[in-house]
Amino acid sequence: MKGEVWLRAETPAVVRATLLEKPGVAARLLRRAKSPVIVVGHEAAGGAGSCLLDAVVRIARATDSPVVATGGVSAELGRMGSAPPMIIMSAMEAGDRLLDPAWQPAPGRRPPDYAFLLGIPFPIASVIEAGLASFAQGHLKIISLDRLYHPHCDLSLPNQTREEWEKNLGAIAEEVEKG
Amino acid sequence: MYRNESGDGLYDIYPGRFDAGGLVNCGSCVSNAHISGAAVKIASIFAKRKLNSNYEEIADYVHHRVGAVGIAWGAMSQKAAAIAAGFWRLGIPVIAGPHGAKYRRMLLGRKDREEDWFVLDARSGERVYAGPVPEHLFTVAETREEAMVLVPKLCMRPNDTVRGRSIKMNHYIDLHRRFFGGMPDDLPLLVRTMADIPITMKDEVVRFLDAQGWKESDRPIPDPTMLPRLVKGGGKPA
Repeated sequence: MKGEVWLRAETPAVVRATLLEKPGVAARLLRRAKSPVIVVGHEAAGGAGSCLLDAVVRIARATDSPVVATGGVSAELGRMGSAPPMIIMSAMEAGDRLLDPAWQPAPGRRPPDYAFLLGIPFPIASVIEAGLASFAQGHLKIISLDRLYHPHCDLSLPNQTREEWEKNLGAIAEEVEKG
Repeated sequence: MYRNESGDGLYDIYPGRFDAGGLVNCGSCVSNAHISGAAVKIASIFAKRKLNSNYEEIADYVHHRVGAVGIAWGAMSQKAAAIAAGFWRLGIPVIAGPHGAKYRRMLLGRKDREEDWFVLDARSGERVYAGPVPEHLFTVAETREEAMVLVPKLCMRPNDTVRGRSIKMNHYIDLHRRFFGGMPDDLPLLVRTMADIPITMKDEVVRFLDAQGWKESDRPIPDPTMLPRLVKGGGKPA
């Protein structure tokens, strides 16, 4: 079940996303990226007791990545005061911008070479990733740090429970911070 | 079905008139034609546009002047997608729920590309910047709150009067602050003159605009069209 597509109808092409089973691998990718961008959807907003957004902010700070936050999560992220720039944009718009090889997420920033996506509802995320897989292959690597396996990405975390997801993202943040 | 503490349903709480604050049940899905028909009637009654074989002019009128937005929430059937297509074809932006993405077609604008937002001024034939309004014709919202912020933004039109734009800005800024946190970053693109700024938020908005280097537009309200033949005096754009 780890690498099964969450929606049966969401059929990928011949090449499926490689499973990211160890936090160290995701952390290496985050460190290797020259100009990463993190796109966060509302499912990452956890309310009381959730450390997901905390992990996102730690990763963004350690890698100096701009964070594109969708409407449902931007207020919570804003209150946490992420140091790199935060851009408020809907997930679909963010996907559209990522298709453009010249798009700069914030003034003075280079166009992204790696996009890390998480917390976006599966029906929206799968459409965005399918578009990026077809039309952004030349300039962008797509990595899913979501709770569910996303086959259209280059690499993706496996299907997991919310608790496992929080633990994994915390471990990735720790690895990234180690440098 | 939703009921409040007194046991009243939505049709008890809201009046059934076709006006702000009203809730009208037009009937089944196919009755949506009455709603798009209301937009078509505006073009016919106010601008005396011919109704017969004149879809292009009517859609041009609705797109540039009628501040309407459609919301197609919930499970997205093929019929709902077809209805949404009927509205965006008429120039009315449509917001679908997350499942609307499954149809794999979005009509998204890029507010950061200034060159995309020029229209013809029907009075002079000049190409003028009208701002990113409406920014999208078909998009999806991830959450109910995201849809609520999108509605006043997609209601804006190039031909808004200052009072109309000010009311829309008031709702847009208020909802954005409440649900997204902070001022919208596209405010400098949507405010044309000082008169567009809602009075109750004037100080705060002016401070924000000054920090962004905003300048008043020299031609705030054009007579917008995309059809050169509608330009007065023969239709040759400058």
